[in-house]
Amino acid sequence: MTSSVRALTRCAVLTALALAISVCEGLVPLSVLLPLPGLRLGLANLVTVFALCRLSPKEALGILVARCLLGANLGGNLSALAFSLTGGVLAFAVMWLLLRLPGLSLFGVCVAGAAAHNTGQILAAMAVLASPAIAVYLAPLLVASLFTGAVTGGASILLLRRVPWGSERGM
Amino acid sequence: MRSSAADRVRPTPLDALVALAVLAAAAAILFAFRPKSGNFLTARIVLDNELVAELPLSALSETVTLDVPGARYPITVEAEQGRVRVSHSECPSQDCVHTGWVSRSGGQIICLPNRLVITVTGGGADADAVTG
Amino acid sequence: MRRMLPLLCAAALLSGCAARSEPTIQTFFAMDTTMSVTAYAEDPTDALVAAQQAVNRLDALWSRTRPDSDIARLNAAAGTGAVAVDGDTAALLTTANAVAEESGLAFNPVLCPVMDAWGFGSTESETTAVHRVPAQAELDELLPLTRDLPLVDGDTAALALPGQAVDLGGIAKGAAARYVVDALTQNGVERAIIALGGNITALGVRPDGHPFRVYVRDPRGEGEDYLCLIALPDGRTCSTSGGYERCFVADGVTYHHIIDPANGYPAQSGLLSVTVVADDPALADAWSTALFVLGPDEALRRWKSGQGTVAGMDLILVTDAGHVYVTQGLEEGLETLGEEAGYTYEIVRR
Repeated sequence: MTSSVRALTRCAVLTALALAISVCEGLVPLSVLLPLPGLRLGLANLVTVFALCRLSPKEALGILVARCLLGANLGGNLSALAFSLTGGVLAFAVMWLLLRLPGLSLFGVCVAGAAAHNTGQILAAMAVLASPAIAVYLAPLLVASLFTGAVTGGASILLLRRVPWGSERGM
Repeated sequence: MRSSAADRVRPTPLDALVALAVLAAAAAILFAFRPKSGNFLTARIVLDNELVAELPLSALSETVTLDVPGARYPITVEAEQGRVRVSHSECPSQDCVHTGWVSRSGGQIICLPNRLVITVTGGGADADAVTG
Repeated sequence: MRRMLPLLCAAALLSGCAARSEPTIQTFFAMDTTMSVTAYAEDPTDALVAAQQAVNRLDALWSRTRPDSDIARLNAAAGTGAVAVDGDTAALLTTANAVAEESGLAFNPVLCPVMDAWGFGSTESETTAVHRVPAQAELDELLPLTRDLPLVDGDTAALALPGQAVDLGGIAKGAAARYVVDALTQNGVERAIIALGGNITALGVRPDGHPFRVYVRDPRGEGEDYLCLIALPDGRTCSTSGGYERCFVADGVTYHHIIDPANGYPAQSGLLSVTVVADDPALADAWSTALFVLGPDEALRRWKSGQGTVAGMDLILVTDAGHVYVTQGLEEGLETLGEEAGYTYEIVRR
């Protein structure tokens, strides 16, 4: 395989994986445990982290956007797309920046990513619904992102150690 | 792109700093949206079915005196931060003056001879109306 | 995305509060008192205008002081025969008669001659009114005029004796609330708090989803002294009667405006105020006066009996000893505020 086909396949597989994860996660919503709108584990973020670490930021962003668009097709609407895209892109940007900082582990990166995702969601909700009052929800969501971020952080550490994929070792 | 973060297995002190920053942001939001009692309190002065003035009680920094124009019996409304009263009225019943200061949302001062109503709204909105 | 749906749902709920949290308030004078309608809707202007027009129409029918009103014409024709009245007037007279009969005339729509003798006529005259204590002989002469209720037959009404007069002031404001609610709902307003001179009616709930809340005034206090805060559920009306509302002092004695039809003197039933919460706003208005006259024991007896109109209402009775009886239906959402002023509270159950 040429490298560009390989890269494309890699991205396609990761996009499909991210989509599958986020749909599965939607089936078992965390908000059953805690009645917080928008609360979720954010396991699909694992794919973004993985792509950021193993592939390039460009590919990671492409996977993210593709996932959000496909996800909206699968069972969402336009405002849901706005929420997930804003959250996803903000999380991506924050994680990309933090990964370039020395001295952080994936725990910190993922916590910041989860927090950024929630912030993006709420910002989009505030814009879509023209209601600043929604920001009140952000405080508990930020606290929750400490836990969900730690979980995805731990998971992504395991993932990166066990899956030697995408680096110089090839597919 | 390889990052040093991808190789670490344990949380670092900087991670704790990130967590703290997130917590601080949450606290800041809670603080910014804390229920503010008495905030945005507004007094609406209605004379004979016409709104004559709206006083932003919460925003007042000094005492404001208003001689309500067009009142049958000369009447003076005094407002300061968070409260309003009728300080003087030449109406025969003087009920409006006796009502005194009104500072709670839902409160009213009524001067029936003048057909004047001062309604305080907004703020924490303790109540929507008063009976009795 | 599926994960956004909960947020979307919650956000949609929230948006109701955020987008329409600023109510529109219409304040106006009618029926000799101040009225205000606070509507939570996108553009309630038409609804508020319709509501005010509805009240103005009723005022024109039920006013005692407008010479061409149904009531003025009925009073003018007292003892001479029946007059044609509007269907709404006939309906209100029938309701008033029903309360008068069930309360043993504690609520009395034909108490006018006695009220006038005390100077407690219409509020318009209140500002210039001369209050006085009528002589016993005068009362003895007037009281017989207050025993026969108006006769309602179809769309005609009549007063049997010359000198009799109807005053619907104790029920008209409550009755008007029903028409205001209709005017609002027909014009698309689903949430509003309607205050017609102390009668408060809740239409729907607050934008935050909680019931509307109403302060009950401290009968011994003034200004912002409140007895308690109650929740007023959708469709309920609360109405308060208290001697403190209008009174005068003569020779060191305070005389208030709620006259006991039994003896023609201000009611001394041991109550400072009565608040009634009921589904029918006219009944809430009329029964708050009736129960003030009947006193705490009779009011609680009727409520506890489970029979009759009072049993279907909720009550707050404030005795002159500072004891406050609150019936169990008002317990949820009750916030007592008068402990420092010396009030003691008791939830009454049956």
